[in-house]
Amino acid sequence: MFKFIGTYRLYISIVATLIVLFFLMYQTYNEQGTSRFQMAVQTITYPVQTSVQSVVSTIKNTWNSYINLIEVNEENKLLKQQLLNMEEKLNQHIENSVQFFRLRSQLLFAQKKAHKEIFSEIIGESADNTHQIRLINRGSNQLLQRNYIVIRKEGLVGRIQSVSPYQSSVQLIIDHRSRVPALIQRNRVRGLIYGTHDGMEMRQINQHAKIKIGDRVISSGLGNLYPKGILIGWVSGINHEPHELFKTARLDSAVDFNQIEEVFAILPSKSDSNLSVE
Amino acid sequence: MMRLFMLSLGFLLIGVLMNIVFNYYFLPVGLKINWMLIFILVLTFRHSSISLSFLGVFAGMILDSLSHGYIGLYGISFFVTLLLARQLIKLFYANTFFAVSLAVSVMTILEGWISLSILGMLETELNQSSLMLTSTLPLAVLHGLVTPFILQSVIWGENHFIGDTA
Repeated sequence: MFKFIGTYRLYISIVATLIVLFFLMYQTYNEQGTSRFQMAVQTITYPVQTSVQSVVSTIKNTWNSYINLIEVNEENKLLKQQLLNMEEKLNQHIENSVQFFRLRSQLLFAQKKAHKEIFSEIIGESADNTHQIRLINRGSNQLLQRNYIVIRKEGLVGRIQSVSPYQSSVQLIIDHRSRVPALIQRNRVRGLIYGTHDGMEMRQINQHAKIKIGDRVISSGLGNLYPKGILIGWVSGINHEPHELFKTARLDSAVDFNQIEEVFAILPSKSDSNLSVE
Repeated sequence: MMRLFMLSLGFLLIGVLMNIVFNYYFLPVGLKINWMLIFILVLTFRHSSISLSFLGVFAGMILDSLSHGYIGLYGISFFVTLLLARQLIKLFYANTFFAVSLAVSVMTILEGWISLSILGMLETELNQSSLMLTSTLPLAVLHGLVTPFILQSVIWGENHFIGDTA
């Protein structure tokens, strides 16, 4: 027996390593939480990421503010801010009017709950090319937990996939594993937002539903994960084959995921039942 | 042997650093270069030590932690790729810049195919063929272009830390 092990120890260790790795992968796939190894790696890499991010943003800010046309930059910021405010107001107006005509506005206002938002900066992103993950500089020390929602003023960003003490990884809604129950704001047609490799699609739309390019898409609140009414994007194309049961709409996202530097993580209130948190 | 392991560990840490910092700000053709894989492949082509394959498992697990979170996926793909790389250098001499670049490109394609295949089992909606074409193949070319610089730094590291044994 020992002779056999001695002769084939290399092959045995290779096979054992593969078995252990498969077991680990299967376990982390099933548990869908943050493993200790992942937490350790994220905790160790956190200081490097934050310090580099801090240095780069300082240089960037200096360049933008003092060298690169100060006034134009400030004016641009102001206009962008105004545009965002208008966009948010428009979103609220449309949402409120639709709800009013459906005699639900009072009820919805009564149900509105106060959320606490935690400001976070993006300090890194997924190390591979397959997944759309961003790392933020807030973690379990700031009370963040898996499945908390991450937004920006423009709209929905994603959900927290894993947390370590000082940082969390956020799965963007354009990640191919992401699913967000959504509806067309104008006519309340339901669908499911799928992340694709190069953007988003709204699938499982009723084949008789009347949707048009430019329709605003918001989260529907179904599934108890994403709160209702958060802007996701606009319909940019519609695809429907006659033999298919459902329509598919391509979406332009409200958030420019290539440009985001700061996000807000939503801490649900204690009475909030909209967010399911593990 | 110990020196080689320490040198490899050092390069691995540099690879991690480049993966998490450099890739965030520098994305040629929108792709993230897998520095850890290049370092460990180049070292394997030069030394073919089995310990490098096991070090590759560690590298893969770090990459898993910094991406999708399925610990072991890249660990497996790195491990298998490095084991095959050890066999590959028995077939042809891979110690010139061009040969190493070519070998790294081929191995990148293999690693990409393995990781996407395993990922496809976990995430059924993953479009593997599309990702192979839009991500893995261009990445393999990029890796091939970057490899001479990595090889040069590995040679430099060997000269300084391993000395005559390199």
